[in-house]
Amino acid sequence: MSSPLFTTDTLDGQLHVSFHGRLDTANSAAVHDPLIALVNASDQPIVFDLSDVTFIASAFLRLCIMSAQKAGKENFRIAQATPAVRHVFGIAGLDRHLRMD
Amino acid sequence: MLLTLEANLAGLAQLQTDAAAFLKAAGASEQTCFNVLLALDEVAGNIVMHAGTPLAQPIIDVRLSHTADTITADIIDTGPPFDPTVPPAPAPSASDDPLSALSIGGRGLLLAHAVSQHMAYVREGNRNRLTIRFARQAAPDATPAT
Repeated sequence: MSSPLFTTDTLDGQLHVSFHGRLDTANSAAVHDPLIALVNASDQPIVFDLSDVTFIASAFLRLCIMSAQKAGKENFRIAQATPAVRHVFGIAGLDRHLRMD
Repeated sequence: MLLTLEANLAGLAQLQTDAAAFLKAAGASEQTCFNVLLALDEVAGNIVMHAGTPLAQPIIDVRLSHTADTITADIIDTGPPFDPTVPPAPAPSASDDPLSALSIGGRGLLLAHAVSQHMAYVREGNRNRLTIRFARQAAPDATPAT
């Protein structure tokens, strides 16, 4: 059985979604439906933890934008992205629109 | 390395696996691997998502090669004519653009351009051929000038 591409936890009243491995086009498609359902059902601030993510493609950026638009800018945060992953957000100009730490 | 892909998500996943193995064997730097895999995923993904018709899916061939200094990817598909080297629209520049106004997509080719050293396109008969060149030893977070 393969490892899950994301796991969830609630910490300090925030929904933490921890992603794992490579979030290329195929893997982003695989997480799309369960992730968006989770985001749509949540009324808590949402944190996407990318500390265990080694690769992202534009398909994952789409998921981040959709999630941020649902939660609102102040209630959505990208946490612990590696420099290479953060760089992709920068190329796309999203580091100016999404909270990242 | 020559790979013929199914024009679907499984084909994209196979491309990532096979290209990663090629790049490792070629001794490409970690950043080069990231750049090549990102550009291949975006370009091939664009073909999968947009080049098919209800009657036929395109055939995608990917050829990877290297020299001492460069990695070259040729992506050949049987979809309708499409030149990905035309610069995509830049990302919104104003940091105060409302989040709600951000488009969901449209960033794939922007990323592919940003991580590539050079792109060239030609229409050959009924096929598109895109050639992308990368530095073999790109430094971390290196975004080549295009």
